[in-house]
Amino acid sequence: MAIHTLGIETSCDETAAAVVREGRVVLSNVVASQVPLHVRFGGVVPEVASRAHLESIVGVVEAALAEAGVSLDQVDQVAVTRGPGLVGSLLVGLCFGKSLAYGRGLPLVAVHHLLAHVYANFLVEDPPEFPFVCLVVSGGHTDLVRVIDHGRWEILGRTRDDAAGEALDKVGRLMGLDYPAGPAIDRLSAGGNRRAISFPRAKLEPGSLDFSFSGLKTAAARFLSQWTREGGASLADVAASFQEAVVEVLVEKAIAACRLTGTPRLAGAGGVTANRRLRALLRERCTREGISLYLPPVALCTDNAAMVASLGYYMWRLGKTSSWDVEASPNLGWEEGPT
Amino acid sequence: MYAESSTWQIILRSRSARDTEAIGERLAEVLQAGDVVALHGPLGVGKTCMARGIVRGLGFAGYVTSPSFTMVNEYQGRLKIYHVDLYRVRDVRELEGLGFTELMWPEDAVTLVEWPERAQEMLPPQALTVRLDWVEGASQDRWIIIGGHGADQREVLRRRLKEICWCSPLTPPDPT
Repeated sequence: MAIHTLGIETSCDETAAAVVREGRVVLSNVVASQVPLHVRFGGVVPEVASRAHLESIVGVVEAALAEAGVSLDQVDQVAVTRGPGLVGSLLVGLCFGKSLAYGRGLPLVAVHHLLAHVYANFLVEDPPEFPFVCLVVSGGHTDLVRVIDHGRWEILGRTRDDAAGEALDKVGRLMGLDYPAGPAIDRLSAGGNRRAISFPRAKLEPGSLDFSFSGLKTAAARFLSQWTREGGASLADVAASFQEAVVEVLVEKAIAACRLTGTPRLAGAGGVTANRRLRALLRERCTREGISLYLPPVALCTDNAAMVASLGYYMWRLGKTSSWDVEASPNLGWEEGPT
Repeated sequence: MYAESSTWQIILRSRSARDTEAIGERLAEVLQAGDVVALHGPLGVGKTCMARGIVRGLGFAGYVTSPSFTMVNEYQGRLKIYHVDLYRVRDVRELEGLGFTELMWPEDAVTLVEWPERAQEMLPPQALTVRLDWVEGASQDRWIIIGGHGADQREVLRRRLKEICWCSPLTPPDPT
């Protein structure tokens, strides 16, 4: 009998549920985005987010089961995100998952959201072999990890200040773009000159695989405070130049991580890997360096529950199930384990 | 607007991000459990940098990153520190039911708040305020204005800060 994992994800502004077979085959992947709701407020509103999760979670889980053609009796374990994320949002998914697993007598696997992003790479036809380097880049995180085996990894680098997605969002808003400003910068940049303005790239000390985006954010804020439309550079030029500064550092550090650790495989994970310029530059540089690149499709890069189900399945196989008193952990770090 | 009405102010000039962090470290020396520090200033001016200095000064040695995503980061130094970021908040009512009142009245911790003006009415009246602003014509420099209430705290703080940066002479606070 094939093993079916029900995944649940509510760490931020997407209510998501999915059914995955054997940790690899996505039978359904339902995401109820709250983006239209949050556009009104210009960002994710925590209280609004938790209420929206509460309202949609039952329907989303039912839809995931129906779409997969799997009944609750055929579900073998429940995987749910326990952190990091917004506490109110996490609680909705975790409590729901816990109650469902408890009520049905199923194992519960409460998983790490960032590692789940890495597992989007196992949901495609040709997953990377271990070990591989993974660039995990989202609105809240920018990390380079070396994934050694299922549930085993080491941190190679992380941001010392802002996440890449946060820098894109904040500067995008200064440019007058609407939430979510990251994707808006991506779209606007397509018509701009990437070399129009030279923004700083933080390299940090030699050999460091850490990131820093606050200096770039400051430079962009200063630039925009003096910028006038008549001055030559268009808004698209500003967007493209700023995006290039973010993307270039991400790509160069990821390549350096592969080189320094002698790992010829690089995977991408997290919402910012939906950025088209990041994907293009990763492809270009990996080809030149002889590194095999793994980029999940965009729908699996942004927050979803299929990745949660995949990680949950592999952790269940390793016996890493969770106890009933597992708590939501908004600041969950990489050090704290996969579940 | 209680937190606006400081009884004293110290005006400083930071010459670099490193300076701003060092000023934060010195500021940490006068902080005690129960203190709240409101960090005002435009995007990119160095609020998280200042917060990092304060957290380091309170004895936490690890990474101190922007809390914009989770809204609250917690650190354990000689005191517990809550690093709060209200960037995403548009209306103070959004914070109801999320435990923010407790964070603004910490008993056994120090709370640092970025973008405090988004929930001004939640700030306790005795909060220390730190305002960061650009210095025109000097891209690395920042004006830093610290406002507080206890006279003893001012004396100690001013003495320590004078060792590392330009510090305004003692003047009565601006009547506005």
